[in-house]
Amino acid sequence: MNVMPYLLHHHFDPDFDHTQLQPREMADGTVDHYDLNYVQNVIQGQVLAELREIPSDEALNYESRFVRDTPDFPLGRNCSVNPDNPNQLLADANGFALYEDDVISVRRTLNIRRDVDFHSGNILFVGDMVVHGNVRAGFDIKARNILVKGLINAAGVAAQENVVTETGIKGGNKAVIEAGKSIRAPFCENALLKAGQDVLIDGGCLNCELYVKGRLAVKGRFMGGVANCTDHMLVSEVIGGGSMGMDTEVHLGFDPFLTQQLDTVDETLDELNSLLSHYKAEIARGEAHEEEFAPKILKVETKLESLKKKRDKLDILIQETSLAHRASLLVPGEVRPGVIVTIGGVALKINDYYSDVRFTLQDGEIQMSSPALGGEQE
Amino acid sequence: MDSLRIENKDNALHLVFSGEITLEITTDLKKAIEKAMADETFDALVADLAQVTFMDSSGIGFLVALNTKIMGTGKKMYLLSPSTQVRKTFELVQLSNFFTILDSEEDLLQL
Repeated sequence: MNVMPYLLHHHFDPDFDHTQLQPREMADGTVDHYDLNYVQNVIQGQVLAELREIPSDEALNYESRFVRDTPDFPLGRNCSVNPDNPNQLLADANGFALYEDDVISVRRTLNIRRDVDFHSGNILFVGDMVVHGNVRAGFDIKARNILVKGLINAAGVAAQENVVTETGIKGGNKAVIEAGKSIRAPFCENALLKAGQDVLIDGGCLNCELYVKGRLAVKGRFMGGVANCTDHMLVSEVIGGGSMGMDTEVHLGFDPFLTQQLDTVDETLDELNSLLSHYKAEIARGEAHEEEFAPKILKVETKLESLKKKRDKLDILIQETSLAHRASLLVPGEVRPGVIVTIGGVALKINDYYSDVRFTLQDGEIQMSSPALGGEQE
Repeated sequence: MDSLRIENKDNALHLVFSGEITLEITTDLKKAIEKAMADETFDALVADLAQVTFMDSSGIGFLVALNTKIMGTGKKMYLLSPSTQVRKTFELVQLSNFFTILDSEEDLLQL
């Protein structure tokens, strides 16, 4: 009996080698050093390879390593045969596909054993990422969880869940660190941080902008910058004081992501209102302009109406999710003059030096009490 | 292609998908989109999924690869109005917050 051989057809590059990445030439002739396609992402359930029956005399036309005598797969970790189609090999997890020890595997964790820089390009990965070096300025990484053993420079780091850096964040006013859950860093300066849950800075936090949906703890100094936080904020050593003339502000009680959305809506409303005034002024110049500007006015008015509705909804949501009644700023160390604290929209400017104090909202006013920790704190 | 319409609106490249995005068509989609990306000038890419009735893991893998490409060029990619069915698939593979999802075209105005 003449048995037909099977060709293993891959839906990923079986020879992919991230150590041999080359910058790509773009359509306009320039070279893109940022997009090196460092990793071959695969999604749980994605077809990695297929077996296709081929005539025996055609087998020599293909690489022998991909021609098989029997309809089976070189099956490795996190892969399985499709129960509905035995000729398909599926990924069982999100990760990257590769050949290791002559079998097809999917790895959930991507280890980058160097800096993220021009050798790696930007990296987007659907699993967990460990960067053993630094993330250099100008580069972006995105993954489910991200651990950076080195320094995060003026880079973009975004994780669906957590971001941890073992060295720190030196943002150069350009770093944007985003985490669906939490962020932890030994220190951070000149960076924008956004966390869906908590942020913990083990040392100092200088000139940063933070948006924290849960709690924020700075074990060192918090100097310069703005902290927006729904729940409690703890600053163990010093809050405020000289940081190159930058103000220090703390806003507590409201979900900062919702208030940020509200600010954006307000900005757009302002722009649209200006545009509307401009169109109306044009029409006022004469009837000849009416044909041109009347439809534009209608379009802007429709957008305005819809945005106003969105604004109202946001306003209600901000109040409904407010934690102003229990939010607090806790400073076991020192508070320096000049710090602005708002809780639930009520503002207080600190005009003196205080130590071991707590700020809370009571009867519509911000109250200061001591000690900072202990007592009825939740 | 029946399943893809490409429009350039206000410097955003809109990819309007319809029907099913599965392994069978991802190669053709990739070719068509790469050509449009080379030919057009744009700041953001919007994948309009409102008319997509089904997407398998290969379809999501295709969107991830597209996002990688866009991220590499320093531009932004958004998913617009994915159906409940498609959102469920994203959740199933734990990628629901991997993409920036916009509920309506009005949300685009505020970006």
